[in-house]
Amino acid sequence: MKETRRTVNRIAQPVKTVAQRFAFMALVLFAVGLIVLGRVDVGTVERARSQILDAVTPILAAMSQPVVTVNNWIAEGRQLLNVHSENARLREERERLTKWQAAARALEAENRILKGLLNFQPGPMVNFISGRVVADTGGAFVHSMVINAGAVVGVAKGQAVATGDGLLGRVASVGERAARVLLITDLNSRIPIVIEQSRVRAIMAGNNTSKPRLIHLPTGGTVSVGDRVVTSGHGGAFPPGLPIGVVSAVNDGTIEVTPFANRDRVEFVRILDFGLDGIIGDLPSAVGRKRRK
Amino acid sequence: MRRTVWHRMDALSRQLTPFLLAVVLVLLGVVALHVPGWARVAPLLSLMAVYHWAVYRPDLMPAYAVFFIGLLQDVLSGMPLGVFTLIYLLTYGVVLSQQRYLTGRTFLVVWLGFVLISAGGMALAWIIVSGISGVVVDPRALLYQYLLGIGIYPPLARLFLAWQSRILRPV
Repeated sequence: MKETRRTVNRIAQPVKTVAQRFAFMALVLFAVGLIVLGRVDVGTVERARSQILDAVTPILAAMSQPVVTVNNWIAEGRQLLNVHSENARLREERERLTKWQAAARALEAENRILKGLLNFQPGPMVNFISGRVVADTGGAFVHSMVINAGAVVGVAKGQAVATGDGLLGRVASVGERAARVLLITDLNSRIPIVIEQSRVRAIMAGNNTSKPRLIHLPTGGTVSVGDRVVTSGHGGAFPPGLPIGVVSAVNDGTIEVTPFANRDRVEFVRILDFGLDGIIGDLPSAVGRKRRK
Repeated sequence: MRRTVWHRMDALSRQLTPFLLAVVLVLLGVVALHVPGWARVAPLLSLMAVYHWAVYRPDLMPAYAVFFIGLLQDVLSGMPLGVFTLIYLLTYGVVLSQQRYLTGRTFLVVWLGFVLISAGGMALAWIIVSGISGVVVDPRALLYQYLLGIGIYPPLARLFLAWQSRILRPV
């Protein structure tokens, strides 16, 4: 009896090892296959990704809750310490803004009259959807966020995502209740922009650092430090005139932009439903839209 | 009879904890912490879990579990699908092939092993992502991420070791 068991073991052990090796190699090949598939068939991979994201987002949302609470405590503590200087600053700002308000009122009235004279065609209305940031991810490779709003509330691929300060990114993939936002600093982000004052057009390209760059400037178009950068609205993906950032450095060939939106602080975002799919909205999101309607 | 069934269930649930712990670390690693700069250099906590259990208890961290953990990390961090999956599997494979050198060694040796293997893994991920996107990814953030990772490994590994001696001793 003992002898047979030993024989069985002697045969079974190498077989088991070989089977394990084979399973390991198969998994490695499967992973390589996934990388290739992700390049070839973007739709399928993205749909699978959105479904997993949908399943995990409620857990992430629950996990991020205590972090938010602690951060709020810290913020409150800081505010208590700075309450006097903050008050002085706000008074000053209020005075300045009152002057701006008067200027804005005058301009608004003037604008209304001029629009009437020109029979101006206003752009489509922009609707807002709000979402909470539940994951801020990617490390050195990807700059993206996960928000807890998805196709159910009208989020669609390609929509602009902004904070109160400015453009943050665009919706890269959508699930039912979650969406991934590709930040403007990501390597794959390309946004048509215009310099607010000089109306010089360019493309803002992310490079996985905190400062995206301007590329494809027209010849003769000059850009200087301090220029405000806003979306141009070309390609129909983003509403025009959305603030993005300010030109912070111009060295030979490279123009750096410092975005207004601060990735580290942002807790809630606004998704701008511009009513257009733009050039980015392709098959998966189009399918999602039809189903909603 | 009844006793053995409960015993088995107890053992099974304990045996599942290394995997579940790794999944929790994947989730923890991507939760928005709102700490300035953190998200750009957040280390791969789940890779540490895969490495640790591959060294000490590979029987509780089979290859398909590693595959799942890597895939979840890919999905949640928005990576091209399969990149971290591949890195995690290769890390696991390398550790198993070097088990002779790693088992029964001091903590310092195991840590050094992580320093080397994670460097290889990060470099490979860098090459793959740069190849896929056609642009050389800025390596500075990656370097910080790596350094932060090897700094965070010791306390996390202490936690795993404590887990091993408290929860996993009977199984």
